[in-house]
Amino acid sequence: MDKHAIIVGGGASGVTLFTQLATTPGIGAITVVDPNPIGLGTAFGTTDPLLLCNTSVDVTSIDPTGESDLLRYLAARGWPVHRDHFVPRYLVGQYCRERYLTYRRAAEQAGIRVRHHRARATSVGPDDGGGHTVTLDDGARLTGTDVFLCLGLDQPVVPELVRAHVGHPDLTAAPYPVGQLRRLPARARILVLGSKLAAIDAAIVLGQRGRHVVLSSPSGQLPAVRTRLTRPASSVLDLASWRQLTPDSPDFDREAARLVVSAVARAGSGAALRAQTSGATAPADRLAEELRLAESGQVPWQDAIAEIIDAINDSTAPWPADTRRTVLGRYRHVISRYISSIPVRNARLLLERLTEGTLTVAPRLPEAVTPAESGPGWLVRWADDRTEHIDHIVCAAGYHKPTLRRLPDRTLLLHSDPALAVTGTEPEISPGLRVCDPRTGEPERVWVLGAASHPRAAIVNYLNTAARQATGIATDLLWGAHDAPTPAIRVTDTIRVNDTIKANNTVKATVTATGRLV
Amino acid sequence: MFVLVNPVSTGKALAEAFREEGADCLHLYDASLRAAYDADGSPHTMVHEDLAKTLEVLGGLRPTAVIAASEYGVLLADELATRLGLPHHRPEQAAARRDKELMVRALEQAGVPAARTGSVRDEAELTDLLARWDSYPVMVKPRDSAGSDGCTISADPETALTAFRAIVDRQNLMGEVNDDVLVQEFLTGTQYIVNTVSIDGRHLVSEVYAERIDHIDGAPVLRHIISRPQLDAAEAELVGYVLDCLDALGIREGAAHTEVMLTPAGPRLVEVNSRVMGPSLAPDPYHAAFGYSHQHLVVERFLRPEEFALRLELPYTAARSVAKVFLRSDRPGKLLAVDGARILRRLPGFHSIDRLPEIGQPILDRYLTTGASGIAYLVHEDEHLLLNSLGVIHDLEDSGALYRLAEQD
Repeated sequence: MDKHAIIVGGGASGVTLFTQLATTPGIGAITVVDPNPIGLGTAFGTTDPLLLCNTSVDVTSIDPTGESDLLRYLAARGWPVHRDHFVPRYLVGQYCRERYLTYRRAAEQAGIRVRHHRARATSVGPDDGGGHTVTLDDGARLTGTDVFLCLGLDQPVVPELVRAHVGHPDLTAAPYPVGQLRRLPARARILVLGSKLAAIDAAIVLGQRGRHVVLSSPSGQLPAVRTRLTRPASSVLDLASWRQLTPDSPDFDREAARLVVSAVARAGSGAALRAQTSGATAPADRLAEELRLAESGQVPWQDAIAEIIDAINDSTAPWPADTRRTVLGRYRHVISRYISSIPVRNARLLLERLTEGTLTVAPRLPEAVTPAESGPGWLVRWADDRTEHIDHIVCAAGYHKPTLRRLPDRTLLLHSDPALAVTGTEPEISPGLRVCDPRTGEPERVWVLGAASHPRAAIVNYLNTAARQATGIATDLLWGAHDAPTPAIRVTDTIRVNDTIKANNTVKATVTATGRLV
Repeated sequence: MFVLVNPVSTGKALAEAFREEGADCLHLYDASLRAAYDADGSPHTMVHEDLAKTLEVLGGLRPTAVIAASEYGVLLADELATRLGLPHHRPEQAAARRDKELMVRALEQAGVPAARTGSVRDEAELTDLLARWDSYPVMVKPRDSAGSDGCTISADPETALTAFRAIVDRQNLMGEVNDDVLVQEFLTGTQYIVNTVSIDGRHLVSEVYAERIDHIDGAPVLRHIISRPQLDAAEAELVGYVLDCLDALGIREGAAHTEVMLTPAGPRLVEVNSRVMGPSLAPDPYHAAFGYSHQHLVVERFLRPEEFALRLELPYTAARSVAKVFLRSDRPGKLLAVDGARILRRLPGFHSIDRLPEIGQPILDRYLTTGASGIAYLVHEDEHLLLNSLGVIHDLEDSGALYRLAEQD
């Protein structure tokens, strides 16, 4: 019997999976559930050409293997582009949309029924017929054989500091769409809560018409600067040693650091890591120094990042959830600074504004924020007891990861805000990214991808991760369609990392560092 | 022989469509449009100075129809067609087709819902009207103009008074002096354009567009229009309402361009213009979306009426969506370069750019719908992708990245 696949979420991860399922035998129908147009989600649906990806064209592709599919898409539309480039995010949204339309046409020509149901999914539950029923907020219920949760990031984090003031006219709870920021008055003094990617987008858009922007976050630190994030031509990470790492070993941190440092050294022909980064404590000084290093080609650490991301995702996937949380928590600062570093173009804009005095980075969050007693705006009190008037506050502290909760009747509740996930328990997710039946522990035919896979995948805000996951799931389905067990591949001298397995001239699987087929 | 009255603005596109099909046309210009007459190299042109003389000449030519070829030609075409006994709109409603207040009265008389509207000639009348209405916001605009010229949204009596003073006794976009000023309840909702071509009082809906109108510095600014290839229930009701408006205003022959607001209380007329849509009608993007253009349908209606009549039995639909963007600058200045064109031309659905402003010239009409800063056309099967491309264009405009400008002296 043909499968009916239900993809919950039509952002970039959903499209990546859709393109895989549309070419997987045995699927008779695909329904994509999303209230918004497919392909144009939160991250890439933004339309402002100022906002760039912080990943290069090379790894921002729905196909994780071979030449970047995004590169081909852009070349076909006349863009002078290189695989290293950080392109505006709207181009990736348009790319996802156009690829969805192309694959949809091909699927329909192949007899697959494709439907976009414009609603938000609220839960997934077992169906009497052995499948799963997805309940939607428009009252509809869809039943399918396989459900894929590609829930994206659409619920902004509102810092506790201002949570009580949501709805205040001088508070913007999320930076996107940025058109709302551009409409803020000229010469206004604006506090942006956050200092990472979303906050930097906000600062770049706001930094016109004489506005003054204050970035403020608990760390008070800006991300590092890079000129590219691409797949390495050859491996720089000692994968054999990496695979030997065990999280409960007392030597784990030391050994992991040693492997990372030697990977960076190999990427940079021996240049020491400290020579590639700045030790300055002031954010502006550190940004200036790291921008100089990036512009002069002295940041080879960036060429180890793609491999490190894949290695972290692959090696931590089998770990117990608590272990993964604990270990990765220790590296949160490093991950957010280097893995989520910013393009040189953004660094230049920030530095220009820091230098001209229209942008400042506060060392920490304010002590208190209260509405001004008379007139619009806010009174902001800092740790040094200084109080200043701020005209507007923008929350740009990132987005909540989607959260799943299992009820006793096996219903899975889908939440975009963890604060709403007050009932039920956290479901077990298998290393193969399937939600497990709480009674038997066996994987159900419900998968998680992209941001929703965070209980198993360490670094999910990265299209390449979703693309690798989608390829792996399609491979599972492919083997399932032929009633054959999913094969266990052992890494040998003849099957190497990044080797591909093909069927009908289509790449069906790639061998990862851990020997897993993805 | 067809008489095209004042073929300026998009009337030139209409004249071109007639010429393309080999039709014999006389281009009749009002004396106030002498420059356009002088620039017209067509074989048959004439200046209208005296009604009797014009009627004598036209009578000798035995024309098939007299057609208003722009907003400037509406009244004269009405009069000439009536005097020559040619099929045309109902003469009794001629004034209502050109005057926004009389237009509303004609609708009320026909039992068609209309926006609350009044006209005032001085500040005392304005104050009296606002006191009687006691409802804001109101739209203050010239009684007789076009292209959003002089339109101001007023949230209180003071703003309304300022808006009144800014336009009364001043010359408007049509070249006429604003003797009186229109005050209208401010309509909220989505504004639509419904273009039609009529034959013997039967109306063909040729195109339906949704408009994006932003309110910038208190003025409504039209950013783009995007066609609706299929109509939902509310839009179908809106189209039915427009056809009632056309009947109430005696529209019977040729093109009409109607703007209507879909308000929470239902559709409400903004205005009917008994001519082809302005201010730019490059025919190709419309053909790419609909398979015809407004002006080519007018030509078909007069040259091949049997063929045109077949369309009256067909459903309204289109293969693609077309969007027309009224490009604008976020600030005044002299144009140095159109940097954003490199991006615009690579967007999904890009079709063409019409009338890009001259390098070295100041940017004109930042708030008006004259197309003076250029008009971009996009055509695509996928409405969502088209809307995304439109979003990119508007972000380019609003961030100042479309035009590179030098400060004006």
